Amino acid sequence: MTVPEKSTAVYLAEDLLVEILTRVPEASLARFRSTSKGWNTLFIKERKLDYKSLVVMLIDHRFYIARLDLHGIQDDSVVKIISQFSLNDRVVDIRHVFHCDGLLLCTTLDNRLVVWNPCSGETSRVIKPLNLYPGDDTYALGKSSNNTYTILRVHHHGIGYLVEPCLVEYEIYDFTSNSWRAVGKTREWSIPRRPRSRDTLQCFDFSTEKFELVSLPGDPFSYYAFALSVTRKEQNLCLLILSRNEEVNHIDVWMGTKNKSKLLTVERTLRCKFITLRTGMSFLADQENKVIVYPTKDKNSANRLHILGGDKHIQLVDLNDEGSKCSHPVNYLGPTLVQIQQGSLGVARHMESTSNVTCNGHTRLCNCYPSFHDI
Amino acid sequence: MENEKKMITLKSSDDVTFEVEEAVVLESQFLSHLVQDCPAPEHKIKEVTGKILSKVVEYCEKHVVVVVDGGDSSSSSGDDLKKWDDKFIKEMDLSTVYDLIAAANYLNIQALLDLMCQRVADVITACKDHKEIRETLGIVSDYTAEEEAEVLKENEWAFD
Repeated sequence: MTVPEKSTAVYLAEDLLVEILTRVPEASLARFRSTSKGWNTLFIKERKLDYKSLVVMLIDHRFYIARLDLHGIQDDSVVKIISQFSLNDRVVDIRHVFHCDGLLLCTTLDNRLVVWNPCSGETSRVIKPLNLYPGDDTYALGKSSNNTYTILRVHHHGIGYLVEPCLVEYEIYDFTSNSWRAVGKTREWSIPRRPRSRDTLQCFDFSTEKFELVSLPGDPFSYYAFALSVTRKEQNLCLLILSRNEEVNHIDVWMGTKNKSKLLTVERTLRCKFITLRTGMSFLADQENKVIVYPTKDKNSANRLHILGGDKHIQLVDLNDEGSKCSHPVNYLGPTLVQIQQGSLGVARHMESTSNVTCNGHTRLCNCYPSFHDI
Repeated sequence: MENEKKMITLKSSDDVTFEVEEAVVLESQFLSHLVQDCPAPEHKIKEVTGKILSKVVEYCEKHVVVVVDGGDSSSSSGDDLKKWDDKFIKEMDLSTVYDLIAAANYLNIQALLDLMCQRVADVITACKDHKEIRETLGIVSDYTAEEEAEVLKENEWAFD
């Protein structure tokens, strides 16, 4: 009962206040912090209301989980990896990862499709893929209109899509019936392996099971659409763009709400100019600390997270390899980063919008986003 | 099957009594333990006033009936229940909602607790800025002008 009565007419025990506030979207919570000191103190104290959550990383085909606190981080801080994913007690090599509401869908190097809940550590469900090489397809994990997890599979026929459009088929996997069913095909667009000069954004609505084109923010000819991510709590789509004008020194992240607003802008310093941003790279946009975090490798191939905006690095220390440099060769794909909220699974409440997005050219790392608010 | 339903009397902190069927009491985990452990015909609930207990009883009675009648699968009863819940919370002022949250927590009625907490969360979410939240929830700011400017700047992204 420490929120003083004077400062609030909400005379409830602290755990009940937290119970209420965990149901409030992130932006409203941020507005709430400005109401009084008593409330702001509750936010700082209460870890449940703090979205510095677990981060799942895919590094050199392995999953790692670490707790990341971006507030007041020092350069060269060390983040210890707290656990690692394994299937039937054996470490599995992961090719690609897709996520929705804290649940991950992975394609493995040995051509399996596995669903994993990193919060509960619950294993995983192995799903029978439609073809021998599921790694060749693009997947997205979403939720159908009755709030059950659903997998979207996008399959390209032949290799024609490297240069020109080909037949693209898409199917849905239903977790209740454990089966795949075809939902459509098109020749109007394809998801290229390499970025093209002019990308578009395709949105898949899991309730209507249809794709539709989503307009890009601002003047799409003035920038390169670089990578997609989602905001932490509300799971709004974020688009990282780089101006085509070389004199522009900052990076913008747009948020795909109804009105498409600019989420944050960070300056690139001299140091981070030399760090390559890869098309389709994964990143976390953190509004509160005004930073963009993305995985990278240093010159010794050690894994790091670079904090753009704060101009800092975080070292990642491996479970089995504490303190030493990572000896893996630089992975062409680079590490993938997915942010999840602990204990947040299966309680999606807002059902207004059920669309997921696939971005042409950015399919490899962050091709889709679940727009369910408040996982 | 017993023809006669077992009735239990609940007495509020201010001695208002409610006679309810046992099934209604079982909606509350706290009360189900209480009636199992102590088979007295009347149970005093010291933490809850008559005004709030009447709301709790109203909620539990409605939810019990629907579960029993719904039996197999009538989805309309689910929809009806939702409509009833919406009406139930709309008619309430916030201070009743807070009291019901405390009561639902004490009596351990998870569905009621969820419903009421969501109601307050929705009220907060509907506010467009900190001033509106203060006004709605009756929060008095204890920030100095400088402190307020600082915290507003930190959370600038959340305002239009």
